[in-house]
Amino acid sequence: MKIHAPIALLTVLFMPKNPTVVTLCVLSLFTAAAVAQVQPDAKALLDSAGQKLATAQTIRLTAQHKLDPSLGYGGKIDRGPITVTLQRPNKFHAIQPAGDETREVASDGKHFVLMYPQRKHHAIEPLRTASNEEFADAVDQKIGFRPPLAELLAGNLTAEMLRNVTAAGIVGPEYVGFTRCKRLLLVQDGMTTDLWIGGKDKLPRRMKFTFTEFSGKPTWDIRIRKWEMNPAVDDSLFSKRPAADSTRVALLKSLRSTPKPIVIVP
Amino acid sequence: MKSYSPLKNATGALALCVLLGSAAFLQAGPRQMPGNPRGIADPRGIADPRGVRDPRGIADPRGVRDPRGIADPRGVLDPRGIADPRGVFDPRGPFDPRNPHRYMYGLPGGYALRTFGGTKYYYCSGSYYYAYYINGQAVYTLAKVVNGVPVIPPRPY
Repeated sequence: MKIHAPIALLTVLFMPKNPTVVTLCVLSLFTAAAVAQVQPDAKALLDSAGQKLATAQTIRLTAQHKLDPSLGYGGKIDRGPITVTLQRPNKFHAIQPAGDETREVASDGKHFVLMYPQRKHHAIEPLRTASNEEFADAVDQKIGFRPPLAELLAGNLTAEMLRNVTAAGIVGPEYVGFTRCKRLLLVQDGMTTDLWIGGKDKLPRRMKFTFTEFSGKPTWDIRIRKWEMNPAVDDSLFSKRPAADSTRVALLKSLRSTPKPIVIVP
Repeated sequence: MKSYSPLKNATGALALCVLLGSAAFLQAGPRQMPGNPRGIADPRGIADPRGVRDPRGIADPRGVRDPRGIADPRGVLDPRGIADPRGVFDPRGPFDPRNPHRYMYGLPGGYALRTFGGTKYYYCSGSYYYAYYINGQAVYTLAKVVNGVPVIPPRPY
């Protein structure tokens, strides 16, 4: 999208005498305009993934993530496994095992709990939410971060993924591991998202965020290793509470107008 | 007939001792003497390639194999060199108690949890840190010590 329009314009300016080229350039301009919007096939692909995920009442996924050093602080938590368990309509749990820095988020629709079990500190706040989408928005608004992969697991995946997106298109077929996928590119102000969706099973396999407004364009790359639809999950997982010897810590939102782009996982 | 003079012999022996003593003194004399530029107090040894002009002085215990010296905790891989103004005992790094960070996102491996007045602090390298969650991220904020007890610091940002 960003390349087509300038190339077409330059070609029109410098080679106006050749009618074939001019025609191609005009067509290219139309193509550029089309790419600069959400392409129908991209939306259809998101819809198919959303429909696939919406069939499951409980979802558990295991992913491996890698955060660019400029976005994190260099700890174990900047890379490694994440396990997210979601139960519709409003229960969420995520854990990132990272030894001493292990982090855990749980919500049963009534309370939000953030725990560092090894460091023995936690935060717990009342947070009533009717759906997982509402939970993600409330956490973002009140606490200052979005729960991991909340967009993918939302009831309306297409609407969540296309929020603030100015352009979306299918870049092409690509493999993630041994799975043949279609690669989607979603562009929004300050960020682009690459999403790989499996060609056969329509399950998202990889998601890469590129923060284009920061120098070096740092990335956050998440590879989803395992999807489990309707697994047996103990309901107490979502209402998990910290150990008795854990200390309660104040849960704050940054006062900075332009906070450092730290991605919280979870 | 040549007469035997014990006095002459004693003088000769004395002269010989003085001569030998001077030679020995020359051999192990102070460093400013041209006969032995290093001097007996120089522990570097004759194989030390640094030379007498080295600014570290003759009492510097650094040897040939460790050009920084045994008292230098930096390690041989530290690229700062001897001219670094921070001194040889400065280990540098985020957990250096002489330069503690106002806040940090991680804790060193050797931290300890200490409780004062029911409030828990993370103690490491002589400093106390208090935990906040800011935007969901744990932020360990440096706590001032008043009358020997750490006090809860204000939020860093």
